[in-house]
Amino acid sequence: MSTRNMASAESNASRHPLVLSTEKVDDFLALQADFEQEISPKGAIERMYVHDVAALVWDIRRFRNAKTAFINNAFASALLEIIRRIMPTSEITLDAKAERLARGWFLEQKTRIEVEELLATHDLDDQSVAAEAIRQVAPELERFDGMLTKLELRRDRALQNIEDLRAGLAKRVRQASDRVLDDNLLVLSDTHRGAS
Amino acid sequence: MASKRQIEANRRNARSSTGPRSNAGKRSASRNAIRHGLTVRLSGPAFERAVESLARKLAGNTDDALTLELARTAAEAELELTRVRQTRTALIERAIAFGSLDAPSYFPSALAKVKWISNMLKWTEGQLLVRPDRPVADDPSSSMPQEDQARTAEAIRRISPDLLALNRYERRAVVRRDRAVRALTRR
Repeated sequence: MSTRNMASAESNASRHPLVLSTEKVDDFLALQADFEQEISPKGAIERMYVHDVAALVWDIRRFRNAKTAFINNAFASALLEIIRRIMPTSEITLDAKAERLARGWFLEQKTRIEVEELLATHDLDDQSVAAEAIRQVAPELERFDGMLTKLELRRDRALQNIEDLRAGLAKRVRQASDRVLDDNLLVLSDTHRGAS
Repeated sequence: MASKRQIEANRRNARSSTGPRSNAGKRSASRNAIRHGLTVRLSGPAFERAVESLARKLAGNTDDALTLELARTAAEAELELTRVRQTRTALIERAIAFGSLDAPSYFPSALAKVKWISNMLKWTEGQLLVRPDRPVADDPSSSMPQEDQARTAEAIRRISPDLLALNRYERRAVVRRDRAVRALTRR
């Protein structure tokens, strides 16, 4: 069993079933508490929907972070790809040098400057590398976006459900109050009739 | 409405449809229902108790049989939904730990496996002098990033087709629950 798996197994006892070992249970509970405070659910059904919204927002946050991290993960291979293309022709065969530069970008300030200068010779910068990273992972990003869109739609629907519930409740309260008023009117007219 | 001719054509086409043909396709199809186990409705005394407890909360203070029945449907769907969400977390967790949901494979393809077995047979029969190398399992976790955020992202990327499949189960549970809640609140 790897160190990571052992650590994960040890922490399983204190884990929340909707929270990953790379996430913090406290953050999730705080998010849930924020929503409860903000929406102030009345009754079990509203509370169920509020928890639904919290779980969905947690998922959305997870996917958004993952999307950014995913592009960052592709940054190294994108940088390598660009360096390979712009290295002087005489050095094209020196693949090891390209790899050293790409790796060094993340590790050493000196190499980072060297790479930036190399990029600048072709009017390129880190934005160009980010663009190449996005290009490389575009099909998977589309899948991420699809999942995100579905989660966002579901969150909006859960919020709409709370609104509908409250509108329905307001309507019923209004109807009940109208009924009470109508009943009162009848009583009053009866009283009036009785008096005359 | 489909004409008689269309219906017959459909039946003919259905008869000639034999499902996935390639080994990979058959393997994949055979795991459709097993992989998540989510097509199986939950049951058992503990589950019944959880449904009843949540249903009572959703229905409020009532003994009306129909209201309670609608609340049970909503409660069952809500617990189903929780199960799908827990499954999603568990699958991502597994991919974070192992880099994949599948067991490590020893061969890059079915053909490579057949070749290795064939060479082993030849070696045992003395037709090959050198014993074929033992296959080494690939380790998908070795190519996983170390940093938490990056590792989670890579895990989600690797299992995104599975996560998309889970969406279908989740949507079904949401629709069932919301329909029951709407009927419940109209009473």
